Amino acid sequence: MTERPSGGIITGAAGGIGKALTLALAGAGFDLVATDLDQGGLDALVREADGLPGTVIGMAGDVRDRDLPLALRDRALTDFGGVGLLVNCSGFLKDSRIQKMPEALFRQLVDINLIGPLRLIEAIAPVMQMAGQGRILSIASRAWLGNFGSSGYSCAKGGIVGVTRALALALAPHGITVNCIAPGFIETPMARSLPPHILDRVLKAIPVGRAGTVDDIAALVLFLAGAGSGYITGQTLVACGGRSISNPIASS
Amino acid sequence: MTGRALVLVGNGLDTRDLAAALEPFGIALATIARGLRDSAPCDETRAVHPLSRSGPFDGVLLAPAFVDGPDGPTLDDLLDVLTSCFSCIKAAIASFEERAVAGRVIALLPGDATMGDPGDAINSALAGAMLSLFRTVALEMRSTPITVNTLVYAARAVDEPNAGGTVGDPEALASVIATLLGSGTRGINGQEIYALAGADVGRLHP
Repeated sequence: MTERPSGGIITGAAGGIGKALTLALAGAGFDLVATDLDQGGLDALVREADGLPGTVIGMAGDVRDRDLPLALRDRALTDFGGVGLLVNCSGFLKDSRIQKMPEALFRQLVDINLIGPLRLIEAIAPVMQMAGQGRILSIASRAWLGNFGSSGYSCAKGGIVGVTRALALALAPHGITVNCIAPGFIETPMARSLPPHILDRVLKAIPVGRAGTVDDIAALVLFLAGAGSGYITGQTLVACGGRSISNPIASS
Repeated sequence: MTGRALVLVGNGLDTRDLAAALEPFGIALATIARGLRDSAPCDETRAVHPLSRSGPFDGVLLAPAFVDGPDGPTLDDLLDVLTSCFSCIKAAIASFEERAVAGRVIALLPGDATMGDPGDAINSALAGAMLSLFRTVALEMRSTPITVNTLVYAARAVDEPNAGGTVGDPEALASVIATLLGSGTRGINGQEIYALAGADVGRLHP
């Protein structure tokens, strides 16, 4: 694994965490094909990345689109000559207790948060195998440990953790590492939209006393994408300010 | 404990011997024959869910797993099975609440896939997804008498054409299931029991 892989793909690139990851990776010299549903957000991201050491190409798409993975792969191969890094960062969250969650919503949550990333891995892993190197990173969630009201989201993220373990074992002989990061409460536009009393309750449950930042996650991704992490595979790194080892529900 | 009824849903486990192993515990096992993979996701309304045709039951065993075959499972299959499992849990909980039963929902997951099987990524994804789904539902059931737990069993492959994909040790499974079905286990909720005879020791659990 070289310090800068031949090219990379990142999904959910225009979102709160995805944008930070894209800019951090491009800042470190990674050339990326970045995708997101939000064309305007992608355009802004590409403009913001202009002048960074790495190149960012925007390519709008929906991770549920079966043609998207191969289109992203081909673009990276054409423009960068390979795909050494895949970062699955697309996500969709809508909570509801299981008794009130419609089956269609559950299916949508699993489709976007689990099946979409798996389609990407299915398309990209063979390219990495041929090259004999690669890094596959997926943004899971602390909800993988269980999260009230998040049956669909939690289920999907648990699937990511499960497949990460299996693929890490399968791809290790090919020089490919597979890991995921499970962020806790991260300060993003979505998080800031929470009602103040809920936000206060969540923050009280975080031992380090603050919400995480997108930079906290970017630092982890930069490490796992780089050459120094070659001995780490199949892991789920929980970045949650200690919430996963404390009582996740603070008393109100 | 006597006279308890369990319904097993899913095609991940050969249950021919499990029913016999449960009998000494006074537990009658019914099965819903259709595989979770083979049909469209269960209907939203419990009235048409297959569980509603099973008569009163005290617990549900959910055993999803893909069986090896000439055509491997696809990601579409994975989405269908997970959706079916969700609907099944939802229907079971609705039934328990309607009848005011301290019901038990137990996932049965094969050990290899749960711990991460390099040759079986889709079953590993399925197992990981089920673990997390059950953790979340357990949290949501915390203030009710319903419990939701996972039992990870040591699976061995079966070559017989009519068998399910894997067989756990029926007696070992039956004793744990009977314990979880007991009235004294209300405090056991959201747990994962690795009945792998120690094969998982020294490995990080997912």
